[in-house]
Amino acid sequence: MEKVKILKRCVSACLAATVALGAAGCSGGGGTGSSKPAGGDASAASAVTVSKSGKVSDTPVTFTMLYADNSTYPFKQSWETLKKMKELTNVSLNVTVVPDADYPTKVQLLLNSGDIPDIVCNGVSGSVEEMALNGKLLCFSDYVKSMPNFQKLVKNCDLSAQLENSELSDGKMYSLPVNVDEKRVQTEQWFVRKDLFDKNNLTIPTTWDECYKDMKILKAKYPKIIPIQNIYGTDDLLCMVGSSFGTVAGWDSANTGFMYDKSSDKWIHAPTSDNYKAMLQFLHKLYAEGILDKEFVTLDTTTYDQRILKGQTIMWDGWFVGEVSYNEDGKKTDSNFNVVPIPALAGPSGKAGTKVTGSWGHSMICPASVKDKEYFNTLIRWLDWMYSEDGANLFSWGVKGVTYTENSDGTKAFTSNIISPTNPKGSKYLDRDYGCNNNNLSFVFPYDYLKATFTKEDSAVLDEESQKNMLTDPQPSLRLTSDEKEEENLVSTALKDYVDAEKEKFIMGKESFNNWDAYVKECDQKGRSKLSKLYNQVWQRQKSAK
Amino acid sequence: MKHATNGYKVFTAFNILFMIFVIVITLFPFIYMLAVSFSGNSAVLRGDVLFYPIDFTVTAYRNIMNDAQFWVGYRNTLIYTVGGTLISMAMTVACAYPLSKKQLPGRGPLLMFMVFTMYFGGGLIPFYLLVRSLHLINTVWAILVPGAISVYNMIVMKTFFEGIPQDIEEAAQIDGLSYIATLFKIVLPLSKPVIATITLFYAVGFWNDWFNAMIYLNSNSLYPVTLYLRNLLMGAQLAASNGQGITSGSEAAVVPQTLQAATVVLVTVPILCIYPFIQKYFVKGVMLGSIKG
Repeated sequence: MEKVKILKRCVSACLAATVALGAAGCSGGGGTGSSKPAGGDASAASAVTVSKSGKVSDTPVTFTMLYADNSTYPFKQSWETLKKMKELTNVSLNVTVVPDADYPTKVQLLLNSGDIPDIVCNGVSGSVEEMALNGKLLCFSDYVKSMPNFQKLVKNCDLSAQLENSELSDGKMYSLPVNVDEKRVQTEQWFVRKDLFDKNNLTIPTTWDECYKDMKILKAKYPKIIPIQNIYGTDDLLCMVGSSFGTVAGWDSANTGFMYDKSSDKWIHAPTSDNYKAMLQFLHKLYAEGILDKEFVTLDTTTYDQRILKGQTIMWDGWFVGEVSYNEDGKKTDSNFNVVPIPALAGPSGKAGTKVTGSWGHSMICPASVKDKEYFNTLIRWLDWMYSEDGANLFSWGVKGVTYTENSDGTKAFTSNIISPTNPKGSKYLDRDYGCNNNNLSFVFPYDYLKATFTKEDSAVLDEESQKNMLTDPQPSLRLTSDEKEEENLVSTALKDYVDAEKEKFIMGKESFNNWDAYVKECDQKGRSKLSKLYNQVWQRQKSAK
Repeated sequence: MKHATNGYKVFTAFNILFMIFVIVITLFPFIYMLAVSFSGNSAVLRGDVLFYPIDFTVTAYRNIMNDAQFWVGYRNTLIYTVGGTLISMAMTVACAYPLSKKQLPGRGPLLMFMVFTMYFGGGLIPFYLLVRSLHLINTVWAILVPGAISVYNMIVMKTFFEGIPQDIEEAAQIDGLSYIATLFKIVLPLSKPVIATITLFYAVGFWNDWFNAMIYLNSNSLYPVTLYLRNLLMGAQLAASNGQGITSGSEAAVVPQTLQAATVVLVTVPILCIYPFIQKYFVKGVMLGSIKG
């Protein structure tokens, strides 16, 4: 018995010691992170001077970077663009490659462990806010004054409103935009089988009503075909239709479905508005008459591709340049196979709108600790260089003479070995073999470059949409304090889930539009009026604070 | 034996049919993968491929084998599997053998301590911090060391060792053999089933592991091929389930299915080949740990 007692005491003492050591280890690591406050001071900003040699860095310098790897163009240290960048700026990158799929997990781990690389690409939104406000992230608002190229870009491309949107509740910006389109571009469009329209003497529709009539005719002619199909579920379908009906729906919808109405300067709950109802009624009509795919909620990419290639569908939503491979494969079985994108269709009010189109899709963040590194000034200069014409050209057009040539009038063209929609016989891919058109490294996409990567039909749609003002502006962002966020969280999930379930039921006809008022009342019960008061309050406060 | 009754005949027939059904269901994914990997991409996209390749081509395999990162990954996987299994087996045997001796002081509490870790863990971030503080991050040891002993495997081995009659060992010791010599000369040769089984468990575990590599390793040159495969497949699946993140045509593009299938085949076939050789031990090993001498 004695021996057992002594043993038990020894073991518990050891365990206690282990726990104590572990706790000491943890607190040691966390302490250094929080000692410096987030907002830099003015003196730090003025220290970012211009280098002596004119290059970004006088001496070779290496930054560490966390890179989200897209499996279709895996990262290669041997990319020509990286070599050229080193030549032009003396900067090389020590890249930690993390597969796209696991990127959020890895970012969380690294940011919490304190091993943060100098640059973290593809800043993951939700968690960024918490870390930024806790002082873990670099506040870029203090340093953009020293970034002339970035400021030029903001002025030329009219980005200030969207940058303001990206500011957090303390009014500061903690991330920099990546993949900025010089001129806004919407790459997701509706695509149609033009050859089927031609064969039946129909013109491409310009409004949703015309589309409905055309589809009815085609469905009667080809009963086995599913005229309209969509990918990625209800939210994708709705965001491709919502703007034309004057509402905000699907993925475009944020803030628990509330949208900003310019005419009344108020935030209203879109899913209970009349425009939204009209949209649901239209979609229900399509569904009931067999024009809209019965599997619009659950269709997977494999079946979606199969239907297109087997000629079992006429109209679908997809992305630019996707039609090139469809046409190539489709022509093998049907020589007339011809898929083209079409501009957004107009709704009942006569106005056509694409889904919400922002100027950039990705962002990058830096840890606050990078401020203390001796190459911090060089880092800021390099970030600014990436927004300059040289930096933008390098990661889009590529290397002069290797991937593109410049004509005497200043226009550029790809060299003959680069694969592009106008040159399918090329041997090299811009992204895979050279590192251009990159999610992480292409900070700016010049407009002429984008046009060069699209087909003629894509460009035509793009031009028409920008001329006729069809590109929908992003919604303004609401800056809630953490208390207000808690208040919002109490009801937003329940309301959002209810609306998500009901909107599908309305489209499928499981819920009748006679019950619309009951649905609105239920939304009120689930917190609609509460959120309406909250959001409008926050908006008024935001406006008066400006 | 008595005449087989009608009931027995019906049961046998049903049994056979059911087994055939299970075999088909289990075998079909492999056959499908093989077929897709040797087919032309258009045929796959059209959904024409089912049991046999259409538009037979080896381009998918050629593309993968031309990718240097694939071979780097394969080399790493082999290193991790062989090295990891050796280290794990050595440590597991070293842990199980003493614990199998009932006269070891503190045996009970030690075992409880180990079993406790099977159910409770500190979480991902504390574990990462631990590995980091030991300076194992971004080294081969980050894969081989933290998971070296699987408590479950160790307990199975321990129970088997307990089942070896003590008389043999006592006889050896009377003849003057030390404990270590007993282990190597008497116990291990008698433990072939459990050694083979646990080796297989560990080998498969190391071969399949991508998660530890993803967390602890930062440089491409250390990534195992399973991580390469996962990126190929999951990148595509991510696009397939969440179109919201897609902002350009190049993001909407997915790795061709033929490429995915070929990579799957190349990564799973080696480990599949090991099974027939170890199978006889595996069948015996299933009963391990359940019968005590």
